[in-house]
Amino acid sequence: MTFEKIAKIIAEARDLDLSEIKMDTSFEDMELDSLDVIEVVMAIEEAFGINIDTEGDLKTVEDLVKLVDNLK
Amino acid sequence: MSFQIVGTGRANPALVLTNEMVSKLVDTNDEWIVTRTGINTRYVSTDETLLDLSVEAANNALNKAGIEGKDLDLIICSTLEGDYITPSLSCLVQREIGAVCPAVDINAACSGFIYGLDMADAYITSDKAETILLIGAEMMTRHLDWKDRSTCVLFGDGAGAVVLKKGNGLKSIKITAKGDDKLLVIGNVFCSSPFSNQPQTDPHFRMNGGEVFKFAVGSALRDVKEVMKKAGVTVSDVKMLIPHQANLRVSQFVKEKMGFSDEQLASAIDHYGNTSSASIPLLLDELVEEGKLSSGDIIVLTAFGGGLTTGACVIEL
Repeated sequence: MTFEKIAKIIAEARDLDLSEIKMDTSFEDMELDSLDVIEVVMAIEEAFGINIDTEGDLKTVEDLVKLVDNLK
Repeated sequence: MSFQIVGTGRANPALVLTNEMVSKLVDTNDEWIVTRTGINTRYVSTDETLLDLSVEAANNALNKAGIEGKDLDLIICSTLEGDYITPSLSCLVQREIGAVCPAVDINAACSGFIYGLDMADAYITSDKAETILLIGAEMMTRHLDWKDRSTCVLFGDGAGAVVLKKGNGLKSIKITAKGDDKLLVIGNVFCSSPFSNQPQTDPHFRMNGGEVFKFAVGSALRDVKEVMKKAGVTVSDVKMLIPHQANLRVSQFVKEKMGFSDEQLASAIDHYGNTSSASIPLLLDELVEEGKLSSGDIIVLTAFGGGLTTGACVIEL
């Protein structure tokens, strides 16, 4: 569930095809740089009503899903 | 009755540091820096002191305002750190421009210029002053770690000044603070004392970039909406949004979320980098000089920085 919601947010924010976003897709694959990732994080924070600490190394969609699941 | 801006001025050091020059010091490149920050070049001080820059910017603003140093009732310098701990930068500016009024430095990091405007507003509305010189002067390159590619590319040096006179230019203003020493920190250097057990702090600029980005866009959106509402202006009334020049991506994010056009977003980060509290007055003077802003135009200023501090205001020029 978390994955689907996050994938949708990324797809909308970056104008990507939802089917291209898998659990192991890296931000590099999607051509997102560090600040793009922060923008995605902010959209996720708003959607989930949580506060994500971005200090850790976020490389893939799975990293984000795990972070969000731990906060829920 | 508050203030109106009657003169602007600026000063930059002579040395222009390009991304190519920086890439000889640390492992980085022009493309990386430009896409993530919008910075192409920045001015870096070599022989110029902060006082030299401040006096040049001040004289420039006084000339345009058509007044002399002796006409001032107050001098405020916004700076993280003057050339000395004491005397303050503002006191030395007072001497150099032939003023006789009180002079004080304030430190609200990158939001310092808007804090200075707020202070000027308070002095003028309480009839304690009629004519105030406000300078934003910073030498960030004194506190950079030139081995850290994530931060040393970001900053430049400079000074911007405005002369404020009693008037109806200020439409609304807001400043905030939220104490934090994790996201954005520059340590101090103290002399050794046989009695002190305090650890030395790191005098280099350090930040948690991701969290600072979130703080910057979140606070700028909140503050800009609030001051525009308070001033009763809409996006179409505003000639230009002038954000603190920290990062082009932050400015663009705020512009898009607020619905401003590309033409309404003022930017000079490409040739200044981040000059902390000098960034807004530097850019303001440039826009006035280039004829992009003139009397009667409505501008919105917004800033965020260490402290953590933020500020925003609406001004009719």
